[in-house]
Amino acid sequence: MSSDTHAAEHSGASVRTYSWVAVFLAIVTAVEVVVLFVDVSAWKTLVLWSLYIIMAVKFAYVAAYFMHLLYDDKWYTILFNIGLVIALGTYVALRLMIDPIDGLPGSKYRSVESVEVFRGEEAARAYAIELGLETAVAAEAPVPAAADTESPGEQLADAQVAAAAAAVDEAPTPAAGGDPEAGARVFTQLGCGSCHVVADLPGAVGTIGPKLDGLAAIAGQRVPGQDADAYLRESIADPNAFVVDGYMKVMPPMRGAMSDQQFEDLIAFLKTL
Amino acid sequence: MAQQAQAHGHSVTGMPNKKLMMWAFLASDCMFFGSLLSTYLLYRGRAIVGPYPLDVFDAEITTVSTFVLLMSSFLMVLALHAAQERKIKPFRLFTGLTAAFGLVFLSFQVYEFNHFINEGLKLGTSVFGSSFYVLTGTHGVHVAIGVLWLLSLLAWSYGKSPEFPEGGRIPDPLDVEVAGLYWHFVDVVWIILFTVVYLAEYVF
Repeated sequence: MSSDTHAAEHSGASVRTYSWVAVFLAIVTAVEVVVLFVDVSAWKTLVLWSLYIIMAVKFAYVAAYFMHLLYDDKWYTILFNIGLVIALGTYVALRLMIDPIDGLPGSKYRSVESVEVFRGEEAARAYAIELGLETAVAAEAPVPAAADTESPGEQLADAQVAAAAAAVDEAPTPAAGGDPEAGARVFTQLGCGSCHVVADLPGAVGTIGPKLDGLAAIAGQRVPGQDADAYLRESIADPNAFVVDGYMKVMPPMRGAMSDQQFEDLIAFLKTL
Repeated sequence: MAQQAQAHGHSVTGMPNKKLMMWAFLASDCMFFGSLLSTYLLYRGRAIVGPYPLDVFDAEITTVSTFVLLMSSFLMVLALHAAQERKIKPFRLFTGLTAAFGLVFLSFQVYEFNHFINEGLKLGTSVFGSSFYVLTGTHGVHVAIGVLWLLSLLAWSYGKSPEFPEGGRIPDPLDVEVAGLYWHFVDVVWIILFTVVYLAEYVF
């Protein structure tokens, strides 16, 4: 292994070029970091996309120069790009499945609950109306009192806390008798259909939990000594107290996510199934 | 480039197998990080309990660690150059410095994770906690492996060889190059993480 062979092997950039690339990368990073100190909320989208473009440029420079792709056999670039494309494609596919973008594939198959989580209440109600699950004379909704600066996750947490607090504060007198139609709306708004099938509700197609058609007939027979009404209430407040054979203990307690009236409505609705 | 293959024996593709293998591995590692990053992005904003990102992020510190990793890539390039020029002192210096910068980056990560945990963000706290720690933790493990790799190259350079009568050996430049490719990839992943996980949080 003479030094000639190695010098000949090393084609491409000089140390000077690498140094300039390093300086370029450092300066670009410094520019990016400005967003940490400057309020850019007026140009959010522009800034975000600029950051992504800058990120792609930095990536390209490291790959082209430091990783030598610019000077090497093109097959290395091709191989690497295959990995990159699959990675990007995975993200796009997941995104379209889980948080669809209007007008693009997958956007028709959202649940009302996912719209509420991802787009907020207004959008969820509009979507429910579009699906025919709600009439335009809208019913109640959980209580968000969130400031604008909170993230959706924070707002959702606040709503749940507020609803739970409301449930706790009220005296334990039963609310007015439940309205099954309103109960169907509660069922949909809370996304119960993502785990339970209900034949008459479009979108109630989930198979993680038992099918609910025929529930009224069987509810009183699931747990010895527990009548249908008590069984239904327990299923919502403490779902893991009894789980139907063959299903997993994954249902979260849902009582805290609704007001007393909504709970009564939901129970009334479940009794019609 | 064909010369590189010839100096290392015949290969079917005309390219050295080690290098092709490393690029194939990096392509697969792209997909690995791609899925972890996708998970993080899809959970973004959906944590239902805090602490939330801006409660815990300290982007000034993260900026410093980003610079450190970026510069370590430059040092790695210099180490490879020294290996190609067969200059042992610069080789040891730059390899050692690259590993040292990697260790500095790791210590920043350890500090940051500790700080987050003290603020109440644990792996199981929320989807933010789990996706963040798995994503950045996986990256940290990659950096640690890189540091070990570089330190082993450094240690190896203290052996004996006919090339340096006074003592010392330089690895085959191809081996240093392959280690370098891994190291640059780890840097590139961090470039993406820094923008998408940290900077984006301050914008949106």
